[in-house]
This record gives sequence, structure tokens and C-alpha cells, in this order.
Amino acid sequence: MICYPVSLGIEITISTPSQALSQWNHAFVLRLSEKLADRIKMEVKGTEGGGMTDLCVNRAWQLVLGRHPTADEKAKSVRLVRDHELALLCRVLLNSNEFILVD
Amino acid sequence: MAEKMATMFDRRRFLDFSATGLSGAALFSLLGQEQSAMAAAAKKSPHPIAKAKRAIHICLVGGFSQVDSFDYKTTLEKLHGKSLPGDAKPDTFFGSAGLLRKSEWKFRQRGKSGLWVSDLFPHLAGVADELTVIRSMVADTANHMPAMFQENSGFPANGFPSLGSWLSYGLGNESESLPTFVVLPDARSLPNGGASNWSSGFLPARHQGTLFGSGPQPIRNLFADKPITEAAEADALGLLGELNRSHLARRGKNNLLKARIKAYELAAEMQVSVPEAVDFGDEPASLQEAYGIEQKETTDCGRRCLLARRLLERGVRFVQLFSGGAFGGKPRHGWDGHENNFKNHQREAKLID
Repeated sequence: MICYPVSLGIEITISTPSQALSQWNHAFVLRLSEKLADRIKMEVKGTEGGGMTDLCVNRAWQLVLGRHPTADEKAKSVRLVRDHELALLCRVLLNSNEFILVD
Repeated sequence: MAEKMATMFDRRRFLDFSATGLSGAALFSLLGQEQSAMAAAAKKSPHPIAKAKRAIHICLVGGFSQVDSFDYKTTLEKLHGKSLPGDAKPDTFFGSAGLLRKSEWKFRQRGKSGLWVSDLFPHLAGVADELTVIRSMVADTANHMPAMFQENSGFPANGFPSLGSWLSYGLGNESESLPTFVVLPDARSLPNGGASNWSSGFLPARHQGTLFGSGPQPIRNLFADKPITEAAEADALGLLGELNRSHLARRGKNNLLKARIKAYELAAEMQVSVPEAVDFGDEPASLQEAYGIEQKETTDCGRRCLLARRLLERGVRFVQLFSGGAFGGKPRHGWDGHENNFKNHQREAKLID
């Protein structure tokens, strides 16, 4: 029997369209996004250093990705929150490769 | 990835070890996603050019009897009721072999070719001249799961790529909006071994089969329960794509990150393509009747067969259809007719014939 060095692991479960659909649309992820948005709004209440949206965006990036957004990332995130809602930004961040895959 | 594969084995050795099962049957060229030495070699290859572009594989699950269908054993008929002659002891699952029993279905020669087909499949027998029967395929095991693995991958252990995965890897995708390899299991249950039967093994994960369930929502989570506006969805997915692409640029070449990006893109396409494919509204009633969709017992299988055809028409490379599921159920979900072979096969044959 010929043996090959294989690395199956996580790749099987996270890089198919079925998994993308689960991660994007599953009720659990949607609920999580909303709860996270609620938490962020509560945490930044009364904080100084910027408008509500700015503070929420920073906090969302900190909580989910452990860092501040770059200027470009921040601008795009703020626009998404202003056009739609914070929970949607949370949903995007929770689906990002940077969140799903630990470096 | 392709360069690594090229040094690990060449196509001759690969075809050698895939001699059993279906995996060895249909590979003509191995082209990686990027230009590689292997791709260049394949272009100069003396191998014949593939004529078949897409395929449906129908797998009868549970131990479908060849001697009752396509493999006419005249000696078995002559020795009906007698013990097995000779000293050789057959490999049985458990217990020992009893008296020999001829087929309970009559065999006849069909069509112009004179192909021997039993009365188990009267409709299939009617198209005998369009059939090619290979009677020499043999499994190394009498047990369900390893035999299923061997049928689908060439190996009785799991962890190896299935035929659909090899075709996806070797021939690529013809459709930008549907997966290359789709699996349509029986509504009653999944086959023995489940998703291992359509696994990509050591090939990139995007080559594994995508499961379409039965019923009105074949892909789970195709849409959110609480949908948002189209504009919100487009903006959000747009941002996700941008974030992922800049993340990829920072990380450098990484197939897993790329695969995830592609998966989301395909998922978005599937939100349009899948509902269209599974909506039979544009198929004439007469055709749906021919597929047995109107009759209760053949609704599931008929729908899946018609869906398989529609998927191929829309560019899907390979559809794997299972008739029967894992053992269990009353009556059993599949061809595992231990208790009463006649009743079991007669019932199951009606579903797929």
C-alpha cells in the first residue's frame, strides 16, 4: 500500500460552499451577530473618543479579530454600519478568514 | 500542490493502484489549477482525449445481487437445490453457505445485442442495446462499508478521494454557479460510510461532493431564516470579500484561504442557480411522468434522476445518486435483502428501474 503524507484536518470542513452557506446563514451565527452587536453597544456607552459608530466599529474589530482596523478597513466598516446595522458588520467579521483561521 | 503531486507519483503508477473500483476508469489528463510541469506533460500525452464530459453514477446500496440481474449464471440454475461442489469454502459474512439457489427472475436475451438481463429490471432491459455491462468488478470485502469505499475510491479504507473528486480535480468545473460534484442520496437515509463515500481524501477539499438533500430545500442554509435586503446582502458579502482578499495578500500564497474565498463566491452563485435547477416547472408533465415523479413510490428516485440530468445540463461534471441507504428500517432502506431477497429486490428495483 502506497502511503502519502496527508493533512486533512480542518480543510475538509471549512472550504466548501455548503460550509460557507452554514457560516453565513445559520440561525446560530445570526443570533450570535445580534448578541455581539448588543454587547458592543452596551460596552461603548458613555465612552469618549469618538462617535457611537466609530467606537462600535473599533470594539467589534477588537473583540472578533483582536486588533484595530486599518484606516481603510475602518472606513468600509463604518459605511456598512451606517448603511445597514452593526449586527451585519459582526456577521461579516465572524465569517472572515482572519477570524475562522488562527495564524 | 500540483508540483508536489507530480513528484510524488506519475500517472502510470496512479492508474495502477486505482485498478479496482471506479476511480481508475475515467482519468485522461491531470491538470492542476495553475500551469505546471504536469499540465505541460499532459498536453503532449499519447492518452486518448476524453469524449465523455459529464456523468451520473447510480450506486445501489446494500448488496445488490448481480446473479439476479445482469450476470446470468447457467451453472447456478443447473445446481439449484444442491450443495456447492468442490473443496473451496466461500467467504461468508457469518454462518456458512447453504444449498445453491437459482435466480427467482427469468433471464432473457434483449435487444439486437442479445444482452442477458433478468426480469428484475424490465425497463432497463428494454434499453439493453444502450448498455455496457462490466461483470469483472470484484470487491476485496463482503462488508458494506469497506465495499462502498472500494466502489467509490478504489480502496476499502476511507481517506481516499472518490471518483467524483478525481474528476473534479482532473477535469475541472464547467459551471461557475454550481459545484463540480453533487451527491443525491436516497431520501430514506445516507449510504453506509456516509460522507466518506464522496470525500476528496488528500485532494483539495473543494473537490468533495456537495450534498443535495431531498425535499423542497435541497441545500441547507441556502438563505437565512430572517433574510435581509438584497442591498444589505450585497454590501456585506462585498466587504467580506475585500477583507478576505487583503488578508490573503498579507499572508501570501495560501490555498486554504483562497478556497474559502472561492467557497463564498460559489455559495452566492448557488443562491440563484440551485432554486432554478430544482424547480421542475419548465419540464413537461409527460417527462415528469416518464421519470415516475407522479407515482408515490418512485417520486423520490424519479425527482433525483431528473435533477441529476438537469444538473449535468447546467454544467455539473459528476452527479452521484444513491438508491438505498444504510441498513436498517422496516422495510430495509436498500438492497440488503438478507431476510427475503426476492421481496427486497423486487421492491427496490421498482424504485430505480
